[in-house]
Amino acid sequence: MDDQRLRERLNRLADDVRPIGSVPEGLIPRARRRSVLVPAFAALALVAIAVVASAGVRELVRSDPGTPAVPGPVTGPVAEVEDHITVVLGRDGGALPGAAAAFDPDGEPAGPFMVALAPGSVPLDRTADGRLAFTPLEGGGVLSVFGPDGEVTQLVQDGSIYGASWSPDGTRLAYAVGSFGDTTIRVVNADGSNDTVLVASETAEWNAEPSWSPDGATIAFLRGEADFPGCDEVCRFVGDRRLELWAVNAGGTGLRPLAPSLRPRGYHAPAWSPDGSRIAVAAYTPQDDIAVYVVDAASGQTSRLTRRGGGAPVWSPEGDRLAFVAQDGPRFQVYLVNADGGDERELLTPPVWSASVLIWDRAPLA
Amino acid sequence: MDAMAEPVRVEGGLLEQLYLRHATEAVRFAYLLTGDRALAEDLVQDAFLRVSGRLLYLRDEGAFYGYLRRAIVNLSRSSGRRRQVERRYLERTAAEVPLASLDPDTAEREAMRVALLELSERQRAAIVLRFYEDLSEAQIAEVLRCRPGTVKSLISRGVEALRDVVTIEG
Repeated sequence: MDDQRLRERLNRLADDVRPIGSVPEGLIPRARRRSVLVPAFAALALVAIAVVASAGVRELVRSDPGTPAVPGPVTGPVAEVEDHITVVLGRDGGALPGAAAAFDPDGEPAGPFMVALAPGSVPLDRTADGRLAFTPLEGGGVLSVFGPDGEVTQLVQDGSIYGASWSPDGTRLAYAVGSFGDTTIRVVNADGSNDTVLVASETAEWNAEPSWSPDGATIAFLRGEADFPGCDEVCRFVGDRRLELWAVNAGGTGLRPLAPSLRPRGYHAPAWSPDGSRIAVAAYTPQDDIAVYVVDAASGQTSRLTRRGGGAPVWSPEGDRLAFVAQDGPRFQVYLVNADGGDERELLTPPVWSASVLIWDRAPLA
Repeated sequence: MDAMAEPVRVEGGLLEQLYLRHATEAVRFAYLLTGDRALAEDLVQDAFLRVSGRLLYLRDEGAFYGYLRRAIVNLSRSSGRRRQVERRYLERTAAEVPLASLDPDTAEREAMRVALLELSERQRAAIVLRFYEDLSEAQIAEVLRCRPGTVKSLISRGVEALRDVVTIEG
């Protein structure tokens, strides 16, 4: 069979489709909504005061408290992809946070195709029905929820937030709050009621980056000393080097270390696999780089997952892949890797914030 | 400083132009992948929505069709679409008019359509990308996310499977 004949046959078959001379009704407005993008470089009233080492930190201070209103939704296009990764884009080479955006992990190019929050708001975790817990970097409150209807609820007014994670049923939010080197883990109902301490800071201590297990029974988090001989300013600031992966029952009992051999990196939340059997953690390698490790939740056994250095791991809804943030030259990018460590590759996105949390879900984007 | 800055919008006029410029070519391509015109139009609209959401990050407008084509292939391979294609294929096969009762041109196209649908989805995509879209094996490998050697094998098996219908009917 000659190739030319096959070409002719395909062309003749394709001619079954008549030329299209009009645009389907409603398509352009939908496409226009999808192409909305909030500039990633809008100025912020509040700025990050420091980015320490290459991975950056999320400790932020108010330069002008009490001025603007709580940032809320700027645009409201509804994403129409099966699953998406939400991330904060980076300014100044990834040192400072810009706008939040969502990307299609299987898209070419990946995005962005929506932005739900005002620039500078940092998404932390989202419920299945689309309620997004975020840290508003300006305006009142330090932890708020942005609902699918566009309403913003302030949950926590004071302190700095060091991670937040919804219970699987979306009724409660675990979060870490305090000042660096002295943070507690608390749990609050979604409506702001019943805000209670889960893990207190007995002395100067980090209790940060809580992550609720898929069965709702356990909260994993990072715990460690914040002040010890030889720990300099930088060490105290990022709460690093002596952090460990710990867990506590959702009721507050059973405080325990999960993987004593692992040295997690501060400001990177542990991430449970959807089946609850494994926890991905950004941790120091023997060479003192940072890479993503996977911890067996039952045995505490650890193994390195990512070939390149990187952090902020998150699992896909199916648990077959993970996304993480890694540095590529002067910029930070999102990378994908199979759960077995294979097929590590970059997701084509604009540069992302070095300290961004990733959310990979199928929830409505509001 | 205005944290509530107006979003940048891609004008509707540009989107409309892009759709009209590429729709016929795209729907024909999708039709060869699915064998169903309505499904092809539906698929192209979804692909158009996906790609138009990223217009601001396309390096040049000339690349639009390449991204659209890739989105069409990805969407046609998603499990939901696959089930739709299979269901439509079964429905059409059940209601099939015998080829002998059709005029020769229609019968030839119908035989080709059915033969394409009997290929595996990857073989079909490789054949259509190679012989309809005129992509190189390396370009096809990029679209299908596989090695060029795999593309060569997909094409070779696909051509072999189509041999009868193309030579006998041709």
